[in-house]
Amino acid sequence: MYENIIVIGSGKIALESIKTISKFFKKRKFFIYYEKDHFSLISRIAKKNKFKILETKNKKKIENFLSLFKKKTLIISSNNNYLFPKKIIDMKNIKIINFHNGYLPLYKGRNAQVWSIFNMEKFGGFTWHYVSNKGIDTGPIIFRKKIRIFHNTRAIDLTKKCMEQGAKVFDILFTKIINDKIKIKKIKNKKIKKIYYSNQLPNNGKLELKWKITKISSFLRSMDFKPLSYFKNQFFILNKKKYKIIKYKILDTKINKVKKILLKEQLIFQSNYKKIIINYGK
Amino acid sequence: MENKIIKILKNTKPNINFSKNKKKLIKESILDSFDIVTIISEIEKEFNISIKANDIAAKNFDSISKIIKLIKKYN
Repeated sequence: MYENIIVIGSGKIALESIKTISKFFKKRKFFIYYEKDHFSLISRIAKKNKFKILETKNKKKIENFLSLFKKKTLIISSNNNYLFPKKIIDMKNIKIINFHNGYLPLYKGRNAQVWSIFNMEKFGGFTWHYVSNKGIDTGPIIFRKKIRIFHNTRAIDLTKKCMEQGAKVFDILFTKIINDKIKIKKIKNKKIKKIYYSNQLPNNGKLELKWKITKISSFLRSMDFKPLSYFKNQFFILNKKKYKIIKYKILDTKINKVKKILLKEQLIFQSNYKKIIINYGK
Repeated sequence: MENKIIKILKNTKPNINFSKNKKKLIKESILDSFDIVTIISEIEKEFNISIKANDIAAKNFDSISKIIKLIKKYN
């Protein structure tokens, strides 16, 4: 049984993890808030649930904090940008589990949901796994689930579904996790080495006008987190001029023509089943 | 400053009388790692300081005088 539980991360999944932990774990709880923005709702909820809080953006500070823990400690990492150093992962009294927004071992690294949509996959998913020192998102898998990507699924839709279902799974598995009674899933295909990093954007944010309409749709939806605004730098180049994509709309249509229409401040792609209207500016 | 530190320590470990003792807080197992982490975040809040990563070590929290010395470094 663990003596300490530490949550590090942000967003819905971290919030729900805090609620679950509070239901079942009455010992010492800590929440590390490692984000660029100011103190959020999650910190208040953590405090209310008797979590001690550390707010810092300093990686070394977190490392030294974690090094102080000598008793059996479980770290829950969810929606977390902090990469655990080898020194911490190797500590025998510490176990780390991480929520990943993708179906591992596919789409390791950051923004898995973005790349799944851009690559026109039929499914995305989520994974709860242990953190190992063999590389990002490579640890033993506790639980993973596929989530269907439809022709109109946006990054925000997929993210929400992953988070909602991921939180439910954590709630179900938590007592097994703290009692070390998790059966590890054996995964056949572990040879996928590609890792996506936070500074990468699909096609570097550039919409290619030669793409098929389905690819254009995937590109636009893959970075669509509205009403949140994560990715703002999508663009296209026309007549050697760069135009910024301001907003877009995808409509189902029955027009039997494939054409591209350029209007002032609007670019329209039309096929026999889809119509995409892009508002652009310089 | 000492009173404020004692108050923080007392909030963390209500059963210990910190005002009397000159004990080794870590070596005598009065405080453990979780307590130190708690105390650090309370000190940062109370004294409006940000303790540097290199100062986050058990040895800096082993006595009230050591904690005072640490805080003075930031004032």
